Amino acid sequence: MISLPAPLVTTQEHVRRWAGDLRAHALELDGDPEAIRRHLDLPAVRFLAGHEVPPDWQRASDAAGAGPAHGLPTLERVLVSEELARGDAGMMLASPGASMCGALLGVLGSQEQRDWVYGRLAERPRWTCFALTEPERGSAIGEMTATLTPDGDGGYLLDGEKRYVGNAARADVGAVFARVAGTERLGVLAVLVDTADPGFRAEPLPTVGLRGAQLTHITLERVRVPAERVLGAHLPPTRRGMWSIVAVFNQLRPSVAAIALGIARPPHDYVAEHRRLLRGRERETYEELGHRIDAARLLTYRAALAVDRRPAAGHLASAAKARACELAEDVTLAALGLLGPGARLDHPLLEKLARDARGVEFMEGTRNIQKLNLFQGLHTGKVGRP
Amino acid sequence: MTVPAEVREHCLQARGNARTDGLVPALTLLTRALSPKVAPRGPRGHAVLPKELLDEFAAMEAEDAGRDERHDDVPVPGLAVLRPGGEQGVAEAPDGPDAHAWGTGLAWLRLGMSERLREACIAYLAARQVEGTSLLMQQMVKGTLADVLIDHLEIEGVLEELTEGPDGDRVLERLQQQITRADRTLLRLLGAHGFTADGPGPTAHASELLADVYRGEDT
Repeated sequence: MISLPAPLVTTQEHVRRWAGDLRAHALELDGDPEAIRRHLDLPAVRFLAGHEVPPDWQRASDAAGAGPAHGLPTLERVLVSEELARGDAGMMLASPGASMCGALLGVLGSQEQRDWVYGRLAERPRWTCFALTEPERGSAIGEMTATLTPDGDGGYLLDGEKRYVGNAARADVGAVFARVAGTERLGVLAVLVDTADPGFRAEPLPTVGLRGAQLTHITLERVRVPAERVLGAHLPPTRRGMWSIVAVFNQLRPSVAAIALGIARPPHDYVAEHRRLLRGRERETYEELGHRIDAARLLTYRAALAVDRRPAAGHLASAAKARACELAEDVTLAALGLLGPGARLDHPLLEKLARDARGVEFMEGTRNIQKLNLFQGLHTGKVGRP
Repeated sequence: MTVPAEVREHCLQARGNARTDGLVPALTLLTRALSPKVAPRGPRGHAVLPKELLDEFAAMEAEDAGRDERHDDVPVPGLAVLRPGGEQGVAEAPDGPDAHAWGTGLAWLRLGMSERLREACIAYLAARQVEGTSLLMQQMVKGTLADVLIDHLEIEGVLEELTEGPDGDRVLERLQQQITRADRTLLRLLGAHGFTADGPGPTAHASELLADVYRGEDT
């Protein structure tokens, strides 16, 4: 049994209370991703933006971007993500704040860089984005073509395209991955960009679900990256490249699993609410889904703890991510099935959740990517051995 | 297949049309063939049809038209959905299609759409390269596509032998779920491309909506 530190339990309880506000605006945001701007004063949104804290929310220090005093940042992010996504994953992903950029800064950012980003976020609700995926090439580091060309002054000029990047059209700060011109395949750096700088353009890409996340296509044309915006420059070379990307993904995957759980749980509850009398096979289906949600949650907690204990221990994170995303699709489809013909038209929230469930699949690697990662762990003896 | 010969012909055409021309043209032809006078309704009175046909039907049954809540171009352009204002089901509409024939036709149509998605998937993955090799040639991708193909072949076989009656309805329901799962598997292979409005995601969503609205009541 996993016992949570007391401050985490308090955080979870508070965030759970705030999540209800997100649900109230879920369908509105589905119809208009810009609706988030009308709800920036909700406690959950203010919390994600960094402007509201739960009681006992103690950080390890007063420094900008400091992790929690209890030392379990990934588990904290998992608990928060599941609760807020239970409210509405779209509202959660649409909210301003450090989000994935924060995880990246935690691994690769110098204190000056964290001060710059968190200082801007403190001024007013501001969005950030995390630009890795490229058109036609996905997220494979070895295929990346966005290029950093040295400007002769320690900085770079950034060129290229990114695709499927959440929130980029409304972001003030972006973290962008790119290859240094002339370096080998894995010579990839992460840099911070000010999206107001000339050459940065982001256009929304309408999606089937999770519309709040507002995916975008980014075009980068000679965007200036001063030397102080290159992430990881203060770290030894072994900690900058692939190692850091893997460490960030290991932290983020349990959170995506938690978002998937947050999408899976409401339709299960919804069935209980709207179909008081489930008999026979229907009852079995319903109960089995409940067991699967509980099991996937345990796997997700364990994945988060593993990463918090050792940043390189990401195999459980891949397992949790793959399993929870599968579950989100299964539960949302099954719930619609249990509510009879036309459920998609009569129960708009369930219909939206069935669309949203598909959206977590490709975040931080598709199911096949997670499986390949797991196989690698199995083959090298890093996972699956007592 | 145990539906009458002319219905069988329409079913096979629906599959072929779906594969070559897409959802709205295939659904238009299937509806004109099986329900030329009224909008086919699901058991709870919902409808998902080409909006052009709904306009025609609305003109023919003007007195009922105002009772429905209609949304056009949902979830894809050219399609429209109706939510009933009153109690009106397929069984109550004397000029509506035979429920078994309509359900069978829709399953064939959705199979054709799933096969069309499979072809789109293959073309997309063939054009994507990773480490100098086409994504299509990755073993996991090949295996996944083969699994979907097994589903498609099995669905075709079962549809050919489908009989009318409660058992047939249950089998039809199972087949529709199987088609949805096959579609979802294919969409996953496309990554985020399967999720954006300009990819095949919205049409797959429309196909799911068709299965939902016209499924049997107590299967």
